[in-house]
Amino acid sequence: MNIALGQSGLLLALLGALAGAAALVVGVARGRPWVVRAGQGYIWLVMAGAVVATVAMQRALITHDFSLAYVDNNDSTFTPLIYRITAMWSDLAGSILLWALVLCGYLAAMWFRFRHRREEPLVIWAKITGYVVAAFFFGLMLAVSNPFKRVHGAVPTQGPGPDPLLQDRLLVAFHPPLLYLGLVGFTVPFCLAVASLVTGQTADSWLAESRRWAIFAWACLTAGLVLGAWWSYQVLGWGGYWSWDPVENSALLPWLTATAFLHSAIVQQRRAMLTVWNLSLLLATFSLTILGTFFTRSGVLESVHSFTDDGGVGPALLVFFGLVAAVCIGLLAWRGDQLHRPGAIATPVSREGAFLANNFLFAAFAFVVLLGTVFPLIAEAANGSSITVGGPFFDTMTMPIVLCLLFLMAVAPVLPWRRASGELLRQRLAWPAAGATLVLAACVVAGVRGLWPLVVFALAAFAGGSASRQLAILVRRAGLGGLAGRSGGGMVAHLGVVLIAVAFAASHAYEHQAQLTLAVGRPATFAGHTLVFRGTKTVNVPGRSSLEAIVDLDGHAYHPAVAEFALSNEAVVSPAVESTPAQDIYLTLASVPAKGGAPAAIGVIVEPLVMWLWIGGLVVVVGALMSMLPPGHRSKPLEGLPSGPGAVELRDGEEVPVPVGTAL
Amino acid sequence: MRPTGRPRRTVLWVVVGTAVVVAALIAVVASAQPSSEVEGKSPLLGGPAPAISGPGLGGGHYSLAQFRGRWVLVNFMATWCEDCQQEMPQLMEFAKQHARAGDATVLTVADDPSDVGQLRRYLAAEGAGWPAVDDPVATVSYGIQGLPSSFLVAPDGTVFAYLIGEVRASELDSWLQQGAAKGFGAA
Amino acid sequence: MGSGASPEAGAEGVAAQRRDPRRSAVLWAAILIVLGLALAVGSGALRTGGDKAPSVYQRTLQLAGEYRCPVCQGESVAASSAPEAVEIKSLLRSWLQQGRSEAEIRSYLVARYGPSILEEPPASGLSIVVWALPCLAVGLGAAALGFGFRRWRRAGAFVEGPTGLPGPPDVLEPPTAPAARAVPGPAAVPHVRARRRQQVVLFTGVALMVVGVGLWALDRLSAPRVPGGTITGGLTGIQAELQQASALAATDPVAALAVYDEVLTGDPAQPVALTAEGWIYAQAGFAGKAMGLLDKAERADPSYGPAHFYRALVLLDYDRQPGAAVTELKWYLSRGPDPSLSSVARKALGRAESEAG
Repeated sequence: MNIALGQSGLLLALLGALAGAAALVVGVARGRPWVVRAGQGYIWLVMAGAVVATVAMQRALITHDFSLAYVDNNDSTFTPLIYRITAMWSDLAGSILLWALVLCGYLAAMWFRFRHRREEPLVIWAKITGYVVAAFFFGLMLAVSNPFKRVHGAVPTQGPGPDPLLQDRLLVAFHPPLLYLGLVGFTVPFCLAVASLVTGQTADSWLAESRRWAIFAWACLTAGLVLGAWWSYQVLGWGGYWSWDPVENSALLPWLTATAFLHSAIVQQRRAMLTVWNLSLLLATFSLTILGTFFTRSGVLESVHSFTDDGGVGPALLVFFGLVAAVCIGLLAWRGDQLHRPGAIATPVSREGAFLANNFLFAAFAFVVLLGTVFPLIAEAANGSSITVGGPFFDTMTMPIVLCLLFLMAVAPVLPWRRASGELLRQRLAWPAAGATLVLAACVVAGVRGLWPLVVFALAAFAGGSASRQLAILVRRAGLGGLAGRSGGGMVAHLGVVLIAVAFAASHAYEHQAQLTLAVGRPATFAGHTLVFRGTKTVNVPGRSSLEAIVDLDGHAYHPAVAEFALSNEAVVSPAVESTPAQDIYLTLASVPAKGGAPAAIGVIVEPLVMWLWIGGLVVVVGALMSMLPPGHRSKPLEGLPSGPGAVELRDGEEVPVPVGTAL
Repeated sequence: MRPTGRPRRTVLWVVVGTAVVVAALIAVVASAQPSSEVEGKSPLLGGPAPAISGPGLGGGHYSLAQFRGRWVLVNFMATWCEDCQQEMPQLMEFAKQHARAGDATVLTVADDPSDVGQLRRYLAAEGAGWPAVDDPVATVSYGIQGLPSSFLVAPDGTVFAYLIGEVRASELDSWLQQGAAKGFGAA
Repeated sequence: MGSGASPEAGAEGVAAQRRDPRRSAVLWAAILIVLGLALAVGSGALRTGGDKAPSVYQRTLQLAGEYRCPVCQGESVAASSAPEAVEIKSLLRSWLQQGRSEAEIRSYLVARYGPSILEEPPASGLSIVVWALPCLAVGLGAAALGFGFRRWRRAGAFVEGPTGLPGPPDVLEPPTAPAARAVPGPAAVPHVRARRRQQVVLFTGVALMVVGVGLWALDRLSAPRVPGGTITGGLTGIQAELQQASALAATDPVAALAVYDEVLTGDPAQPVALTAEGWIYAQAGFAGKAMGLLDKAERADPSYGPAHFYRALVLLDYDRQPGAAVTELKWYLSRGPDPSLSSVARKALGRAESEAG
């Protein structure tokens, strides 16, 4: 019953998407408005199909319907309810179902948002693109990786449950959905960009619209990435949170191009330049999400985060990527030069110049990450040699880019448009620079050593000071309401990035590790903390048995453990972490004691400032959401001065000229 | 400003360049095999086999050197590796065939020190009559990158073949025949 | 430009402008000096002493981070807990303790696993591409941007697009004394400008010396970094002393004994210290004292392997009890021996068995 329901849901969605796309294309090409109207209505079929399929899958998982092969592989009678629900995205086929569901949600939102502009050709072409993407994903499920496949032979009564690493923390309920909300969210700006190119309309209002969708998707993707790092940190047992893994890089690449877009879109809004570049960034972001999905699911690159390959998904995704790339390149080649608008950036020392530099740096970052991720394949294809490109390469190559970006973050907000003088910059940056110097001097006096971390701290303080200065100005002008809107939200997001940069540098440069062999009851000290091993305890829960070590860290008990799940051979290292704002102390049970009462080897990792990574991530997301709010109006006049020529007022995010002489 | 009459083509050229790069990327990626199926090549092939020595799982002490003069299939395994268990019948077959002639033997090396006890019991239960040794350093000196891994060592102590994944007795015999053709007859 | 040009503001503005450049210049000079000095001190370019060498474990982990775990999916040896990775880590530790260089270790591992064991692609052969290509791309991009700026400037810098907004002043910024711009300030006069420049340079030089000396003095006076007490942390307590003593044992056994004695006054049943002392005494010929210490070590912690190992060696070589030695060695070898000791233990077992007959 679940299988039938699910399959019919998928089929309904696929047919709806195909019919919708066909109807819209025919309607637009032949100028038949009623065909267009009908085509637009098919979205409800697609949505209904996705919802029905999801409900069927959830029902199968919750009620242990082992007649589905997917449930047989990813569920067990021992699995708690929450992990049964999240099992829908624990494995490849189900994750595509989640992707399709989120996509339908976004498409429905797009339909709703443009409900008053249904007749416009740009909207119609955007909907066509949306239908085609949805059709691909539903087709992928039906043809290649069907979550509703039936088991062969007799229906089993038990399954192994989800992968043990995915049953350990509740983060499995948040990270994938947020990540997909982010990655899939870039589909809508992509549809708008394709439609812009097809119809040749690049009015700035469409850019503002794209930017609004992009920033929401960007906020979700940032949250997804940070939660993913936090999850890896808590579960994988080596005290790290980012290892430049191909799957991590796959999610980072669209984030980088999207960040570049969010900044250069401001240039387009203010100076009506870089139209084609912005469109290219949107097209690239979506293409990179498809390429990223390919890397995660095809198994061509090894990763601890990748899905086990089903066979067939890889080639299908690669073909789709090729198609998307061909369409994007074709559209740009056809329309690109026609859509170019004249405009000049007079000097690099200006806000436009800073945004251009920002885009250049993000493009370089994305290039390095993509090259490093793909290079093992290139080397294999070129001369068969097998080369690894691991974390150290990315750390080395991206460090100078990050330093330049931090510097730009400090300088750009104070740069005026068009042209800046050195004097102006020196005046506006004096306080932030002084603050940075004080921070650096304080660090050095406190005993912090190491060139690169200190440079990062100084630049981060510089950027933080500059962002705080902007926020102070905003609050002084318009009260707390002034913090909402693009400027305020952007500066808050910059503060979050500063926190992340500082935490990243500190936790990498100043971590200390040791493996202490602790006899029962005998204290040991490490890095100023006292550890006492009190013994082990076996905890048995249905489906899971873990051996916990009881360790007293400075008087508080922690339980690093090694857990084994029923029906699975893997043992999962379960670390215990004490998180304080100053440092994290990360305990693992490195080797199980041979018998009760024997000493255990406890791994201890002391990493400073790790908590600020997660806090910084939260601040970035809050900043992004703040920037989506309408900006507050000025409550205090501009020091009672009448407006001169060229003065503008911020209204609804748009700058509206104010007549000369008005008291502001 | 651009001289009048010539239409702007910057975007076109940039896009064409990007198209070439993307096409190359797709070609490279499409030709890649899934990493789990990549053929193993060992840098040890043709060179002297690294030493193995350690306590035998069933007692005693074994070293690779004491099997000089015979073909040795150095087989790394662990009980938690399903493929290793699946290739066991093939290993039994191979060992039985050559037990009488005495020209070839299997030498199992435990890959995981914490698995040694279970491995001993498993080998005893299967009735595997060949030596099994516990030498954790051997997993590094042989460059083990996955289980099961087997190295075929010629009677003169050089590494003749590197077999990754399940081996078959027939495959091993063909390797032995190749070796005989090259003059690696039993000393 | 958006603010009224009243006369009072004008006079104030002139005075402000006269003060501002000098103050601003001094401030920036001070900032740059302090930054430079702090970075110089902080990067270790100025040796300030008190730095601790990293422990063997730290060095092992740092080295382990340079190698890929051969059986995992994309983790480094440092990050992985797979048995092969654990074995590689213990080998790395014993090699570092034996004093082998990182280059030797790297060539050994690459000879066994191939170049794919390295986390960072080597800078030779095809891998040069992955290092050089981004630099090349950045260079080309910067050149392209440069050409773009030049073309824009040549085209007439302020060519305006049709729909561009008129480029208002930044409403958020406080008015930057624009009134002063209307009044030609003293800075407009050339020789006054030159004199001010000289003053700034002189002041900068003096400030540089004063601040530099001050900061250097401050650093010298600040306490050396206490391990565990500052952000840089370190190994403390018994572990540190044991490390230090074991490093001394090879070259200066008397000093090592002193450190071990200190550990034992704090914790008389510390098995590591007891065993190490016992072995030092055994090597010096005091077999009785050695046996006493080693017995005590075994009683204190029966599961501490090296106590059994060294006791067996003393039984074999000094006490002429090969049978007991055989038992101890067999126990030791069956309990996951230390890789650096296992070969010695096996040889000793062989000898003991032959002597026991």
